[in-house]
Amino acid sequence: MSANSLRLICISMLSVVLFLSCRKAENIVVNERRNLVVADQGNHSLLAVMPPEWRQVPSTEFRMLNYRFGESGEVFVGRSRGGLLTNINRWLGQFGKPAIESADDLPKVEVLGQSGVLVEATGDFAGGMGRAARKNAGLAGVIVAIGDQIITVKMMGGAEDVAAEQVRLIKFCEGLRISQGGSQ
Amino acid sequence: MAKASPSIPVRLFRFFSGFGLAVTCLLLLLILTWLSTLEQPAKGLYEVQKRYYDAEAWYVVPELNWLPKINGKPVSLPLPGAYLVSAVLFVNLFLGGIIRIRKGWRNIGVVISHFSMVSLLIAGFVSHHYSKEGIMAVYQGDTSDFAQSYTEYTIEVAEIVNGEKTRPYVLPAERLKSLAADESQTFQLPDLGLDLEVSGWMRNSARVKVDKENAGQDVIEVDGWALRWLETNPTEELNLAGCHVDVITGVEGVESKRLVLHGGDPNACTVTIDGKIYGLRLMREIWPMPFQVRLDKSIGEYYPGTRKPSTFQSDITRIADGSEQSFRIKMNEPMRYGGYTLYQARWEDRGDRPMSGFAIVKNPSDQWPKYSLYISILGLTIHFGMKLGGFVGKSSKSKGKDLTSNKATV
Amino acid sequence: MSKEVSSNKRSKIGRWAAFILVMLLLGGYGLYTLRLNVSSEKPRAIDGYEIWDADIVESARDISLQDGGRIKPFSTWSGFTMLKLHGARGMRIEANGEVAKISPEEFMLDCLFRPQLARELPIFRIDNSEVISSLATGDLPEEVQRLSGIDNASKNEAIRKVVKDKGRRDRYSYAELESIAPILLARVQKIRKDQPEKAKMTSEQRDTVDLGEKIWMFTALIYHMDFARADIEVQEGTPAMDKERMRRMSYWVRSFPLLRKAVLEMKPQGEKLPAGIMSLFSDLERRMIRASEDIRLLPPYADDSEEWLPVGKRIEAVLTGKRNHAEALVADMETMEEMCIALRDEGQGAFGKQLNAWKKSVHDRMDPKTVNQLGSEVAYGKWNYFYRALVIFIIGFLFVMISWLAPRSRGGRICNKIVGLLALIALGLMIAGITHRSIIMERSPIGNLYDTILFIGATGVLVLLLVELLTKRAVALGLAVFMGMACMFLARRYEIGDAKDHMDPLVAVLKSNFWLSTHVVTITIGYMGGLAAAGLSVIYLFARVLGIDEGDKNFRRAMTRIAYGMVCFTLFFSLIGTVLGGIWANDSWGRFWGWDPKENGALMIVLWCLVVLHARLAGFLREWGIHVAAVFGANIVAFSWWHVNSLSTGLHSYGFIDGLGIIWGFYGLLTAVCLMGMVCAVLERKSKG
Repeated sequence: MSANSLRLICISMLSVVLFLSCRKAENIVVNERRNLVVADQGNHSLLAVMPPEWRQVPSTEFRMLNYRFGESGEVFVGRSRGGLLTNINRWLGQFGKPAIESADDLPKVEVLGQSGVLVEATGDFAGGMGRAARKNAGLAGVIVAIGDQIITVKMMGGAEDVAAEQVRLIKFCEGLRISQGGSQ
Repeated sequence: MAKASPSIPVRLFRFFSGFGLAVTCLLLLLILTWLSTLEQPAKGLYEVQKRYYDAEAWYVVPELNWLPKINGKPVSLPLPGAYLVSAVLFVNLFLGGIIRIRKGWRNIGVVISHFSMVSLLIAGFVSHHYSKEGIMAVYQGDTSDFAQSYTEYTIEVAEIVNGEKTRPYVLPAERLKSLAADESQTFQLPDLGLDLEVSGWMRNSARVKVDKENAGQDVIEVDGWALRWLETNPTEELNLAGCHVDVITGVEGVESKRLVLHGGDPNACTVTIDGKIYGLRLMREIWPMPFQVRLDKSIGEYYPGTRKPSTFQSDITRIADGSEQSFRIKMNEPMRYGGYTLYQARWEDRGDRPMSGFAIVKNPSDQWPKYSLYISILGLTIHFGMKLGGFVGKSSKSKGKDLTSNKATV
Repeated sequence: MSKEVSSNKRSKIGRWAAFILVMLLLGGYGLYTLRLNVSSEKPRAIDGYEIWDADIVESARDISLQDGGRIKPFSTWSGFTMLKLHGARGMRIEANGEVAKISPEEFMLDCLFRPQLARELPIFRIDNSEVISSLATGDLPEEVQRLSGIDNASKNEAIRKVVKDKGRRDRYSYAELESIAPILLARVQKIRKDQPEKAKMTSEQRDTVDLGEKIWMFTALIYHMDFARADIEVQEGTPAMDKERMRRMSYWVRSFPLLRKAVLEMKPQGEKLPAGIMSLFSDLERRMIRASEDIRLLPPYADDSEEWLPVGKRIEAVLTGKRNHAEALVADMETMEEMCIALRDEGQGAFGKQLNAWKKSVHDRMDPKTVNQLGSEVAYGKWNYFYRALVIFIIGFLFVMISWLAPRSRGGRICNKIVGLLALIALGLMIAGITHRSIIMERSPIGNLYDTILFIGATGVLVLLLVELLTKRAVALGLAVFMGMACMFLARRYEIGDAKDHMDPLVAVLKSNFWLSTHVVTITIGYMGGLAAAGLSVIYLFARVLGIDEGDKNFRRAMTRIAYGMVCFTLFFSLIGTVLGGIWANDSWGRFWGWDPKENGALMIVLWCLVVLHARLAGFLREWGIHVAAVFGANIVAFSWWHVNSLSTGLHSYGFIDGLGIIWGFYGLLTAVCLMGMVCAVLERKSKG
């Protein structure tokens, strides 16, 4: 084998190796889609329609559905225990508001076929559940008893931000559904 | 008269079909297998497979920290990768072991055995490139229609319409996992009019809460969350990837939106662009199945008084094309259907509802090794049987001779 | 003629050299292991120790209990428990001026029924008294000080007292360690908190944790039968109806609802109970908790249950309201109480009768097939197949060594005949033992690492005897005896070190008699072949180097053919076994090959055999080379058979082992033999050319 042909072979092999190991720096176009599967229905039996103005963030142990809006506003759906009143007063207590004796006077919101109550408060949030204290904070939330469970939809943020989102909050609550045949 | 030197093709043929190459390849495979085994406890199987056995691993530099260092540096011995060596061995086996070898009754067993090894290597090749596997976890009473990869991560982007997810776009997993920490890669989704720039890839990470004010300079925080780098776990299934994604629209004046994604997130994070909601999720690749599996009964038994598993089995109903069929899947007794094989891989007692984990594998060469085995048994039996027969025959002949001579015994 | 004379002389020197070398090696190793396992100290004198009647011991053997997921006889359970606690299946003590050997059954009877004597037995072997002395460092946690009454000041004094008059390596009784047991257990908890993985602990930490676990296990044994000792103290103030029966716990279990009612009537809710009642309750609770440890002597009462719950758990169920089997439980408790009372008040004769009554009552409730299997397993233990085979092999090997010195003489030939006979007897014992095990376990003979040792020993001896039949050079015969001896010895060492019942049922993924009989058996035969080939080649190399073969080319050629044939044998079985393993893995885990350490080990053996075969065909390896390669192959077999288990990763992690020291020694020895062969080959070629 002549030296030249040998050299040629080596160079071509080297180029092949280099080309293959070279990282693709250019953009990649993605067209592949997959079919939907049962997991796409979500982890919980609760289905919600989120308004476009919010953004969904990862759920946690206490927040089945977790959303943010604006700079620091948050909305989350959770489960609780104890009676309706206990939960209402817990929320009011976080804002330094006095406990109430009856929920009859609170506005009603239809959630999952049951009548829930809307709880509102503004003022200084004392902090708690891992959240820092905050001045001029706002709270708007719906608490509803479904069977022996309490479902809460709680919105927190600046007092003005919360007020601005209240209509969406109520629409969100009214749009909650239980999925058929979901897990848990 | 001097013999003419053989032509280049002949020389190449002799080289590639020769014993020297065979012995070299076999020895190399032996050393590679040995070194990779030594590395496994520390590095984990996934990592070792990638470095030693992947098709892309042309060469490997084994970690030889247990050898004495030279000039303070560990010994570095680059070796060809196992895939490459197997490929060369395959060529050698075919050219030398089947084509060049002298054919005749004496060698028929050897030829058959070589043929069985060739078919085994082909089966391995097909399996390496064309097989896919994932895990399907189902609770008793539930139905599932997908499996998930054990190790490969992808990012899925789906538009959410009226609270419901549409068919998601799937970013290629191979590109994601090859991203370096300081590298970024842009993925274009022309159908959605979006670009995704993925950066800050971490093979193992934790999602941590950060205070916006107290977050460090180089910590990327979104909505009070950031990622913390974690040491890679040798068991790849336990690694939770993390990355940052900038969602870029083509629209003038619209800022890109940044998300922090983590492999352990139970749901997608959303961005709203132009009134449309897009959910992004970093998760193990989902592999939709062409059938559904309903877990009717999941049984896990332990030996009485112990935590040693005695039986794991599942009674399932396979639903496909409108028809239903029942199966029982047990350890060592998988279900094979339409090119898919379901194995009882895991079982967990979750209180009132046990859970079965099925390993699902699609491997075109699933049964080929069995055929290779039969052929190799035939070949080896013929060859060694003939040799043994010859040996026994010779021994009985020489027995008669030795009784008279003073042969050495030990 | 002179050439013949000089080669004869050289051969004789060589033989003696080999003889002495082997004697030194084996003798040295034998003495070393004996030193480890046998204490040179005088047997401890135990005051008041009465040797158990032979009838009672015999009767106790097939008492049934459930352990490790299967029903087994008392003799098996006590054997492995004693092995775990004591490191040996026997203990020498001095009782009434005579030296006696306590068997595992007697040891367990002492623990259960004569705990006051069991505490005096020198059970715990501590190889390094530093384990005790080091407890002095560091402070005792508050809670431990409070519960044990030992404070930091008295701690060190207590520790010093324990190790006083003790050697660095010594045996301790529980009574000697009792005073510092809380300190030790507190230390074990701390170690476990700092380093939960045993494999990553320092050797001192591991020794401490091991000792703590043994003490824990021992206390569980000696306290277990407290529920049946019928020595409950009933204090003043307790409403007493039958003072004698009230000393029995069965009384209280039967009448617990009445007692509860009486107590509630005596003192309305809210007020404190009288001290007598409180102490009674806490006594009952303590006994119940002690009886809840993992010792399962009573079969289930319900037909649909398979689990033999510990007595304490049954008592707990009844006391918390599940009274559906209360009567049956009380009856069992009374029977067991009768045993304890008989032993305490009347002696061994009466105890023996009660023991038989209890055993019969349990057997009557069991499936007769299971009861028969118990008897079979007791017989298996008594036969002690593998120990007897070991002894016969050792004797055989001595004859082998003698025959080396003068092989062609009449004496040499007679020795070989004796060796042949002994080997056959020992082989028969091994095969019988393996078969008996299989019948008891109701599965294929090989299911764990211990089984592989037995199988390799048996098949190795069998195959080598067949080779001897074909070749008649006494080489394969001698190797057969050596291999049998080595494997039986290894099996004993492993059993002692592991101290686990290797007949316990297999995990779900292994439960396939088809695959166990095909893949596992072929792979194991492959291992055996690799070792046998190495053995034959070691003999060749030494024979050549030491001049024992007298330059006989026929001999060398024959040996080369035999060794090479063994390599082919190894290839056949290893290759087929490995592929079978892949097919099994495919059916089990969904992948034919996973680059698992055990799979890799098997592949390495196949590759090595292929290398040897092809290198020989190519002429790269000739006589010296083939033998050196075969010897090296044993390293690969050792790696695959033993070493990969300690890498403890992957789906194949079935047999973990401590102590890689032996493996490294093996590697070193064989590599040295390889080097010797290579050096001699080079020297020989140089001297020729």
